[in-house]
Amino acid sequence: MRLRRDWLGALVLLCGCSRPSTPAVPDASPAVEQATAPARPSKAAKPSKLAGARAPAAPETSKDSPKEALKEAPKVDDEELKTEEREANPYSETVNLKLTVTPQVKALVTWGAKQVAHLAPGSMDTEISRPRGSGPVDLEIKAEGFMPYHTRLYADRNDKINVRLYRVEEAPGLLGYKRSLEKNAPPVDKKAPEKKK
Amino acid sequence: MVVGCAVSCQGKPATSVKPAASPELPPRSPPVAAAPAAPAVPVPAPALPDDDALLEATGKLGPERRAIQVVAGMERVVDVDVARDKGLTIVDLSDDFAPYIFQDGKAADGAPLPNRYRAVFVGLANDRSDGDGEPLPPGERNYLELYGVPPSLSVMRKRFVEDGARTCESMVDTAKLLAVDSIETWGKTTEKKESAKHHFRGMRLESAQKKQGAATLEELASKDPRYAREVKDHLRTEAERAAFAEVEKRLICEGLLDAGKHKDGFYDSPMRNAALDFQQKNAVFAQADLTRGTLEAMARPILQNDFLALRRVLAERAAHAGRIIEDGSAIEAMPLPKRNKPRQQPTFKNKAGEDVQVPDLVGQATDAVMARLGLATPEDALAFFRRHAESDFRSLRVAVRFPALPEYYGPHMDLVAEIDRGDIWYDFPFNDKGVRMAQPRDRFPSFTLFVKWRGEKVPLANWRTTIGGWRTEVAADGEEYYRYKDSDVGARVWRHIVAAPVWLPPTSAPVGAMVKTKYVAGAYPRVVNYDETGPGYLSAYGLVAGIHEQLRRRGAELAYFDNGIRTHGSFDYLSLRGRFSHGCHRLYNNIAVRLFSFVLGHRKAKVLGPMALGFRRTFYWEGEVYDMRLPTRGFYFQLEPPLPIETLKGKVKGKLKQPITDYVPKPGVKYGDGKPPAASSGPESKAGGGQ
Repeated sequence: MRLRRDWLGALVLLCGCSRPSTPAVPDASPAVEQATAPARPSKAAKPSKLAGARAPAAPETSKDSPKEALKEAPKVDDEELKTEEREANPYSETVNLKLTVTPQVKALVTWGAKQVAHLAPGSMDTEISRPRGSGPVDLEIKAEGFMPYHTRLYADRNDKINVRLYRVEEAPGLLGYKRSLEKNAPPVDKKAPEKKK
Repeated sequence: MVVGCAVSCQGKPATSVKPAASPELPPRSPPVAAAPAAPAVPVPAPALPDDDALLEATGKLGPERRAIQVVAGMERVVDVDVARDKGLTIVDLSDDFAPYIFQDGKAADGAPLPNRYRAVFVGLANDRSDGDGEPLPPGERNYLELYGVPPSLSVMRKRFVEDGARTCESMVDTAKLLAVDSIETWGKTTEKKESAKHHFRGMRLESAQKKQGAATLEELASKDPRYAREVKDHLRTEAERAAFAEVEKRLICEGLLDAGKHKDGFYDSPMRNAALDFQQKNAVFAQADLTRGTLEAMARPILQNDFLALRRVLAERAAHAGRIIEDGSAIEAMPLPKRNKPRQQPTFKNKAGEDVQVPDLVGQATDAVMARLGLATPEDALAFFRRHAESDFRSLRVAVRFPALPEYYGPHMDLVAEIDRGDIWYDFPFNDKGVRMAQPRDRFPSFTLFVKWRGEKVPLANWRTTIGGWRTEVAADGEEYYRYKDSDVGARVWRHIVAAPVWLPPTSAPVGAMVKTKYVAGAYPRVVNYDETGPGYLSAYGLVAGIHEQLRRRGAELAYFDNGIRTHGSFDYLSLRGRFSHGCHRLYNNIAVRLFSFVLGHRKAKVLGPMALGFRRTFYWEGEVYDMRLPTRGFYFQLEPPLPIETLKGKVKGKLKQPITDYVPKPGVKYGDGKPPAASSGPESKAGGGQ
């Protein structure tokens, strides 16, 4: 369920850049497309000799038509730009970074060679204080029976993140899992793999 | 150190330096993004009355009130307020400098809007930190000028002081360096083969030479034309080898190549990296290939190269201080001349209705800065840096008379941008046998910024840009196909300008590329690769982007529509020389930063500040789970009203007059049965998957 929410969120955000939004200041710029302008009919394209290729596109100007505009309008709710949540003091010397892990299992949180926290059921949070702007904190979370999990906290703001660990058997449901390539590969090692030197 | 106090200690006697060049302006040198040209050392003009020389400041002045001037060979501290009253421009030479688009903003209620990338930009420019803002390992240099991050003055100081102590000129035979057009290099395996090939060819020719009784190989070639081709190849390789040895010497002497790690005569990794460092240090447009431009730069005295680099750095500072954009490139926007006539200079109408040439303001302002600092020669620059301690550059500024701004300047200029797609080929570039077909272009895509003035469109600057073309893309079936990534044609607007923008990789992006190994706190774990997403100079959208939006009717109201096209900076500086994008219009990062800083400086705009994104993608790679997090979209500015930008169709060549919208199988690749899946036509197919 969580996974599905993540995917949906990602899809919405990917489409975010294509959102239509009502212009605050309608401008008499030439970019304003006239509603009365009829859509140009697509010219019959010459059949392509190329394998797998369909007919060439309609003239570029046809995109200007209201019909096309509506057709291409993303099927997501309008999403206005949102300012980031303001910090009480965006120029503080240090920032607090908070990590919360689920499910409730024993887990080790490392930052490079440093051990940041030993998490255990009932105490699945950890906080790190870092100098502001000192670069991101790339963490790795390892827990028995779960795949190693890599995430990042940003030290240019107060940052917090919730992480849900995935069991090895959940791997096929994750983006990037290629069953076909891995069917002959040895099973995923439940222990953390050795670090590359 | 004592000398360095000339700036920081107000009221201290001025330091004696070489006679300063007068504010009379020497000829301009190319802007930073231009291909490196032969050195153009400004010649000091004869001394003229110096009306802009200010009296040395007296009394205690805070650092914010201090600037310097070199007057009649003496450096003095002057009062910034007095300088401004006299119409002089204060050019920030401090290490803390960042272009306008990276400045913090303020919300309507006065709350600060932090521009987070500023700290990273300054850290990169000062060789203090990497692209993530983490400290650089000791001795590491960034060399990011070609990526849009010019070095700070402290970095330039270190460069001059270190290089000033080197004597590379006496060690390198420049005649050998310049005896070849380029030096061919290979990977390790091919290099061995080529080396053996050359060796055996030499033996063969030597034997033939003896048989023919020829004194030289040239004589052999003339006696027996069958050997002419081989002799020519052999002599060229010999010359390249001789030049290669000089390249090695130069790189070692310049401190870029560790002789202990390099095997003589081989283009191994240490040497390849050193060559790339050299090219990036000196803004040579190549990526480790030993091109003619590289050899020419190596043939120049080391301080001469540093002097050219200093000029490029000061050009950026001058452009930002003056909020000017005219760099002499506007002539490229003028129609091509006929019958060998020179290209007409772009002009604008003045009050009297006369045609006045659009000036090269950036070049003139740079000349003025150089002259006011007394920098006419590399030796002047070395002396300048020797008399200033590194700490001086915390707050150093110079008070300069900039060229007068043309009449069309104002707080809200009627700017319009235009992208000419140039020559277009929609035809698939491979024939049935998989052979690439020639698709020559006479006109390449270009970007022009105009100001509408007195009924005319006056070009201010014109630069090469990119348009979309045939690219490979992974389709829904997991297979790779060719696809024509078109650049939208027609009228659009820039409503939003985004500093340090973030690019969202489409789900079709190869997952393996989203992981990299990185040094993290004493170990080398695998981490999510944020290079391409940004924010950062390596981002697919570069350091800054202008979003192309179209106003469309949607029922009764108008709505902005973003089809994924942007004009943006690019780290891929070689792509600006004829390659294709995924539909976006790339500019050199430094040019994009200059352009959008200029636009924001001369258009009504609102600072929106950092915009939330909250993007998260969890993915699997080789037994581990990775969590890509992008909390911010970038730092937004909103133009009010938006700025019109039009993309011209260009001249369509070839048979097809419209682009193919679907996937086209790659020649020679065997696919499963069935047709390729339908290709998406959404915005993701434009901006997604690349730039």
